[in-house]
Amino acid sequence: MGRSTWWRRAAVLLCALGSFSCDGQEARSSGVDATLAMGWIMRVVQAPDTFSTTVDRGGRDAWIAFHRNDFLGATTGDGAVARRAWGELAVFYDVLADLSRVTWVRLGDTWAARGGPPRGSVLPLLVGWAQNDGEARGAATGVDDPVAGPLMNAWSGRPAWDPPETFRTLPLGQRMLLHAQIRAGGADLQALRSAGGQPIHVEVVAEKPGLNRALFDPLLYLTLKLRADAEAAAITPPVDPLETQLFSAGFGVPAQDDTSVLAALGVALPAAGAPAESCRNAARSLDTALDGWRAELGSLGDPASRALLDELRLVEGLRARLLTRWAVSALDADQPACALAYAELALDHEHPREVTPINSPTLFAALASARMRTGNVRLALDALEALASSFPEVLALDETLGDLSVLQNLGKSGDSREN
Amino acid sequence: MTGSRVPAGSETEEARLGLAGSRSAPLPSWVVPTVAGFGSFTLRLLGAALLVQLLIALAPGDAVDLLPNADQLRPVLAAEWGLDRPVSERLWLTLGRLARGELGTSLTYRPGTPVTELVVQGARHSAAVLIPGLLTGLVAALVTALWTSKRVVSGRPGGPELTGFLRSLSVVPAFLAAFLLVGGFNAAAWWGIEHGLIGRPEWFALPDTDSGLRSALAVLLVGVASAGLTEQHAALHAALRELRAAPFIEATFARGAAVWPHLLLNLLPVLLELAASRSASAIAGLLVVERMLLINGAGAMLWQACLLRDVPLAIGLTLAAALAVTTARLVADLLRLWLDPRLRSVL
Amino acid sequence: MWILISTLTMVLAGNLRYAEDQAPAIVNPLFGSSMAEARINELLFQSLYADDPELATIPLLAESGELSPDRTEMTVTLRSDARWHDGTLVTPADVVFTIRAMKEAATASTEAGRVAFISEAVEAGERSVKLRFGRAELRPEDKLTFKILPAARFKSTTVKRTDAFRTAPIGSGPYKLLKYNEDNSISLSATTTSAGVAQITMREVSDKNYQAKLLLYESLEALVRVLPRDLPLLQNNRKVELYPYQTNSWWYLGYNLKREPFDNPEVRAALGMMIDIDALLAPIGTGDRLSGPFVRSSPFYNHEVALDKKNSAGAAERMLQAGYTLEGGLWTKGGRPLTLKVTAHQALESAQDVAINLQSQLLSAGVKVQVEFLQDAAWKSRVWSAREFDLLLSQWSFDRNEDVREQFYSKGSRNFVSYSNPAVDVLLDEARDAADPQVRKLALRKAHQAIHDDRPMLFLWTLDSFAALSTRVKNVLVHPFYFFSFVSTWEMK
Repeated sequence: MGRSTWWRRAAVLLCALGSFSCDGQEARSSGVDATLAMGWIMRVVQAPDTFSTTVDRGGRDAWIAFHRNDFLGATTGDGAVARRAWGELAVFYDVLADLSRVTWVRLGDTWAARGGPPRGSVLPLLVGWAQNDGEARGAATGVDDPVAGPLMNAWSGRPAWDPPETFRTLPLGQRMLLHAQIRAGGADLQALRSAGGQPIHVEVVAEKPGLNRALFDPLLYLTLKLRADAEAAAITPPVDPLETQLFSAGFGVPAQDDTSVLAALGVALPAAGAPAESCRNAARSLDTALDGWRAELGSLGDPASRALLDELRLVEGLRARLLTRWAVSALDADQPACALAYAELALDHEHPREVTPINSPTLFAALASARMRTGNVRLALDALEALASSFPEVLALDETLGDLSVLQNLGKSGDSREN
Repeated sequence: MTGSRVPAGSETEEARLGLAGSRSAPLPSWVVPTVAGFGSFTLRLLGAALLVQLLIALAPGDAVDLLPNADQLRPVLAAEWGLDRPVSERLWLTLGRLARGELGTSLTYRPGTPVTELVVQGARHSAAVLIPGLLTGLVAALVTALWTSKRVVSGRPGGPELTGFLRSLSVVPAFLAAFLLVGGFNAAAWWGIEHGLIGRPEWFALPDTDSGLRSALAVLLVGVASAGLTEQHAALHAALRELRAAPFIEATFARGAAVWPHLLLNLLPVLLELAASRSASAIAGLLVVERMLLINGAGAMLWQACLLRDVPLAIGLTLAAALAVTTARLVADLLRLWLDPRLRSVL
Repeated sequence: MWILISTLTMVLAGNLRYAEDQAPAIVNPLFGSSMAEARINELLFQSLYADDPELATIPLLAESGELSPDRTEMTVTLRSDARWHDGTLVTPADVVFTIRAMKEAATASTEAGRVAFISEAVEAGERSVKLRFGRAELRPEDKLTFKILPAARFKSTTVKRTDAFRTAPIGSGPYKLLKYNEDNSISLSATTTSAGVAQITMREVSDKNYQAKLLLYESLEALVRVLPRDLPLLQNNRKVELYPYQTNSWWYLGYNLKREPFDNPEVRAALGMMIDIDALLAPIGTGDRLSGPFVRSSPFYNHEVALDKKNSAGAAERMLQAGYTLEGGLWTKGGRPLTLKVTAHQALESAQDVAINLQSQLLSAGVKVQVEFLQDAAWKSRVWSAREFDLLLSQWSFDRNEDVREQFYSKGSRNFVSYSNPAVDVLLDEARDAADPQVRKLALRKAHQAIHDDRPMLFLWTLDSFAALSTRVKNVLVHPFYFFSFVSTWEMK
């Protein structure tokens, strides 16, 4: 036995005798990738003082909130962090808006397959409203309902819409007015968020008189998204690139976009229409690259740098945000199976039901949307549940999606097992 | 094998038995013990089988209870499986079936499979572990006892230390030893695989894969663990000390001849006795070893049969186990008789 | 040459090994009694209709179905290319045989309830079957998901567990049985050469700790249920990926309402207030607390019902109202300290940790507790049949319908705690018969409230529930309840 290998054999023997955990770890890649060495993570880790200065500029509390994915909390900061937070909220609400639209449309289709919605229900109106987005294209026309019909037909969704007085007294009318005011920047966003958990219309259930059906706002998230966009645009973009890159889904390598960085890391994003497995492969390639890099970073000499890396979980957060962004892009490209793959791989299973520095609200929204659009409506509700405590306005979507889930399974007998 | 030291046929014996003057066609001496032996043998087998059935019947729940809609199925299945009758009647029916050589079919473990087929399959796997295990234990105990007894007799150090070490090693319960060995081997091998030191061994990972190493571990555990080695070593150590002090051994030693053939020859009856007495505990130990190492032997099968209230299978396996123990006892006794003329004269 | 290529393709297409706690006792859908059997039946057998990857009901063995105007009859036309593993065609006779065999009392099928809605099945042509229903059915295809068996393999509609079919089951599923191995594993091979996974092996690994280790050691490719405490370990391993599976499940502590003092609502309320449920949950995994018989994400969950909290003063007050006094640190009535027994299923993962913690908490609050763990047969006998217990610690898993009727209806077959509330019965009936989702939703939410208020159970939590698969298995789609329904899409090199 050579001298250079005796200790390895001895270690194997010790493991056999002592049976302490020797579960193997992935072999470490060698060398810090030169590309990533110029990214924002390396800059933060190598210069913790610069990081502190940047964070203090916009408000430390706001940056802490932003890191924790508490976007609403981060909007209380100044400058870059507030702009970034509004931008993230816009993306979050955009995903929810899309999910809401698809849910309402599918709800309408499911009722149609069962012979049509309940007689006298305004549900078709709301489906039409959701489908038409209510903004540029106007509401569904030719609506018969004597109460909601004229209102829907008159809705323009444009800022400064001024409905007739008769409409202002109706709950539906009041909500529509609030939408218009929010989009015009004239009302507090919080008003719509608070109202969002209340039904937009209540009607009697024909099958059971005395029972009411609560219908919720199909345009809630679109309006919130538009407002968030406007808030972000109203803040001057930061000069310091670090303020744009810190805790972002990008690598922040100067003079290189993320696509070329990914290519340098050996990560190839699949073409449009590629199967979900290609998307998983891309995510796995990303993991291989980032794991090796993370292992190298862990051997940094400076304790302050290591602490920053470990406590803030900078690489893990980047990974999760990148996968979340890919999931959102896949949803936009109508590739829900891909989106589902990215979102499932992004989720931190140590805290699978909470918003954390790894699990952002956008991730849960994307997960819900991907599950719903791949047919698993019931499982989509699990993802939305994680948002309930931070975003009470999610209740509207939760109720509507719940209605769809129940409708799809009406008349089926269930199976249950013990343990 | 009555244990009497009075030779058969003597006056005193005949007078005691009241046979004087009444002899016309005397029974050969082996008849009564043989008949008594087989009678005892049969009673033990049947007793074991009935005891198992009784215990399962007394345990809460029966085979029908395991099914999801048991209440609906009970009228049909209870009648089919004989579970609607009183326990005493079930025991009697079992006796009748066993007398006809019918072991029946499995109820819940492998519904419909003949019990004979399952028992043979399980016994085959168990025998492959049990017999080598017994032999391993005996050989290990013999080798260590030879060494320790020699050390003690010659007054040299090391004997008590080795004895103490064996005790501490052997006292480890089989399940714990299995857990540690399996975990240790797997962890070490995985570390080597992950670091590129070794290729993936054929036995990896324990105990999932059927391999020589798994079998070897099973044999080792049956032979050594749960104080098996300690007991056997103690018995052989004591026997060897007695033999080494025997006059004929001293005389052989004084003549300069080899002592070990005489030691071993005189140890054979002790070894046979040990093997016979260990067989029962080894078979019981199989249950734990097979469960831990995922060996589909009779022990693991019996465990499942009891959990699943599969009475015919449990009876069949118990019979097989009782048969094995009793046969081991019988064979050991017969061999001892053949080896030791003094025992024949007692008969 | 073609045979060589096909064989090579199949060899290269891999062997997927998955673990079950206990090997299926019998491979025959008529007699399935465990999820392990349900999963292997998914591989071997097919039904007239099934879920598609978007969980919509689509024809599988059926080609089409035509419902009569009054919805009491349906004519199902079978696919012309549906074949059994022995190459023979699937015929209407097979469908008729299966339904009749399931309904036959002498067969004693565990699946008899699934065809209770069919009053008659007759052949109606070369490829058609006519089904008559006991009452009008809105979407009968949703219920035609029981597995079909080949009539030619049986002598009559009285099928026995001892029939030779069990040794060589023939189905029409994507996999056929290759052999039963002597180590209790079962080997299956794909029925088509184009299958992405050529072979599947079910291995019996009774210890769940071993299962996770074997997956990490690459001796398995799939774990059906991952212990919550193993989730962080597996998610950090880049060779394994997690998929949600059987997520509609909740733990509970059920009181035997037919026994004193659990028939006293004050005592039940007091016991609930003595327990810190969060402290029970923390050591065993991550999950969500519950206040009723649905998981929090369920559309039937009533969020207005507050979670139970530990309240020692409130518990004491209730116990006093119930006529107990505190003597020597123990609640006592009639000179006897309150002693109760918690019964748990031995197979319930982490039950031991929970039960021991519970015992400690209740003792601190003045109640003596004994704990017992029962194996399957004893559990079924003592709990399901005889209702001989004080408190039950157990878990229910539901499919996406979340049908809790059998657990809480007065005459429910799984109502072990003997709960009876006529108002809840009305709500459950209303939910079952609802044609409007709002009616069903609101009825079950009211039921949630009522059941919580009546306290037949202390609802504990739902745990995170995942399956784990090796990354060597591609294109994975896991059915949220039956697991292997979409195995035809999987690939493994």
